[in-house]
Amino acid sequence: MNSQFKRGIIELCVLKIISEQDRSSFEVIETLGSRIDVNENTIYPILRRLSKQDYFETYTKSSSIGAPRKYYRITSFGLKKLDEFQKEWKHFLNNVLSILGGKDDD
Amino acid sequence: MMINQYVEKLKTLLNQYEISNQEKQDIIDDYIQMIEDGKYKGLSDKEIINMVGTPEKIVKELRYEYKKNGSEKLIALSPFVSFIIFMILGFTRNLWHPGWLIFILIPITAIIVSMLNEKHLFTALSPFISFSVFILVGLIYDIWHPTWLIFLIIPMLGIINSRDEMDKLTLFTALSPFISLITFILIGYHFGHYHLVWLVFLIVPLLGIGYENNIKHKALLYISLSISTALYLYITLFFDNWTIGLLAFILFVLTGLYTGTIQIDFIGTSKVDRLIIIIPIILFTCIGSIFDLWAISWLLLLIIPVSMIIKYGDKNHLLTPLSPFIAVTIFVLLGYLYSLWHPAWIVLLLIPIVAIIENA
Repeated sequence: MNSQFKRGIIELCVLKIISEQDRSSFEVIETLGSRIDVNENTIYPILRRLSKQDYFETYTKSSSIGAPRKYYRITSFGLKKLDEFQKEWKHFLNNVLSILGGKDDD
Repeated sequence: MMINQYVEKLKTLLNQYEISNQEKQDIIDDYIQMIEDGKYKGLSDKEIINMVGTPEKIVKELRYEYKKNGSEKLIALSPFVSFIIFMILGFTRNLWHPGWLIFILIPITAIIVSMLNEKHLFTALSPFISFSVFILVGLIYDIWHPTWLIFLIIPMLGIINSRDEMDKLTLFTALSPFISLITFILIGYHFGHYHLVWLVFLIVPLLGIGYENNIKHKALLYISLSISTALYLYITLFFDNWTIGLLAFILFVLTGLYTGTIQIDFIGTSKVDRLIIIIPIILFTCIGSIFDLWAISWLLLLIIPVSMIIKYGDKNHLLTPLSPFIAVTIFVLLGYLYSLWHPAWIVLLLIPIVAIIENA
C-alpha cells in the first residue's frame, strides 16, 4: 500500500484512539500495533505532528513507574477534524466497495 | 545501559537537524518514557526497540518535520565553490578539460546533504562517482576499456542496499553475474583466453543450484554441470574447438529442464523486476561492445534504479530522487553527442533546484 495513503489512515486511527481515551505515546503505539498491521516507528512522529497542529494537547500525570507520564488529549479542534476525516474516509470506502462489488451501506 | 546508549544515539542524530534544544529534549524525554513503559510491561530491549523504532528509523521519520543543519547553505554554496575551483584549475593549470568534472560536486553535495544516513545514499551517488572515475581514468591513462566496468557499481550497489531483505545466498546469487562479468573482462583483458575465462560465469548456476530443495535434483545438477564443464575443457583444450565444446552444456541444460530448477531466482523479486534488471544490462553490454559506445551505453543501467524508484518510491516525492538520473543523462548526452561538456554542467543544477522546490 502507498506509504502516504497508509500514513493518512494511521493519522485517522491515532485521532480516533485518543478521542476514546487520553493515552500516553506507548499506549497509542501498543493499541494501534495490536489492532492493525502498522510500522510502529511512524506513530510517534504522527503524534508529534498532530499535537503541533493543535489536534491534541498534552498534560503530565504522576505515575508509580517513575517520572510523571505525558498523556495526549484530543482538543475540540481535533474532534472536529476527526469527524471530517471519518466522513471523508467512509465516503471513500463506500465508493471503493461499490467498485469492488461489496457496497457497505452502514 | 540500553536507555543510555539509545538516548545518546538519538541525541547525536537529532543534533544534525534544526531543532530547538527544548524540542530535542522533549523528544528524548518522550522516548525515555516509552522505553520505561515498555520495561514496566515486561518487554525485552529488542521488543521495545521494535516497537518504538531504532534511533535511525525515528530520525528518518522525523526528517519530514525538520531541516538538516546548514543543509541549504551547503547546497547553495556548492555551485560557487565549484565555479571558483573550475576557474582556478582552468587559469592556473589550463585544466578546463577535464576540470569541468568539478561541477559534479554540485549534485554530489546536494545528494549527500539530503540523503545523509539514508540507505540509498551510495546508490544515488554511484552514477556520478563511476562517471568521474571513468572519465578521469580514460583521459589520464587512455584506458576506456575495461574502465567502463566501474559503471557496474550502479546496479551492484542497488542490490547491496537491498541486502536486508535477502539471505546471504540470494545476495551472492544476485551479485554473481556482475562479479563474473568483472572477473571475465579483467582476466580476459590481461591474459586473453576468453574461451576459458568465460567459465567464471558458471558461478551463477552454481549458486543458483543452492536454491534446489530436492537433494536428488541438486546432486544431478551438480554432477551434470561438472561433466559438462569437464567435457567442454576436454574438447576445447585437446581439439582446440571451443564452439563445439559448448555443446557439452546441453547435458546441464537438459538436466536443469528435467529437474525444473534451471531457472535462477535472480533476486527474489517479481518477473517484471527481473526484466528491469536484466534487459538494461544486456543492452548495455551489447551496445557497448558492438558499437564501442561504453561512454554512453552505461546510461541504460540507470533504467534499473529509475524504474525501482518509480515503482517503489514515495509517489509524492518522485522528482527529487529521479532528478540526479535525469540530470546526469542530459549532461552526458549533451557532452558526448555535442561536445558541450563545459556548459552542460548547468543541467546538474536541476538536482538541488528540484530538491529545494519539492521539499519547500
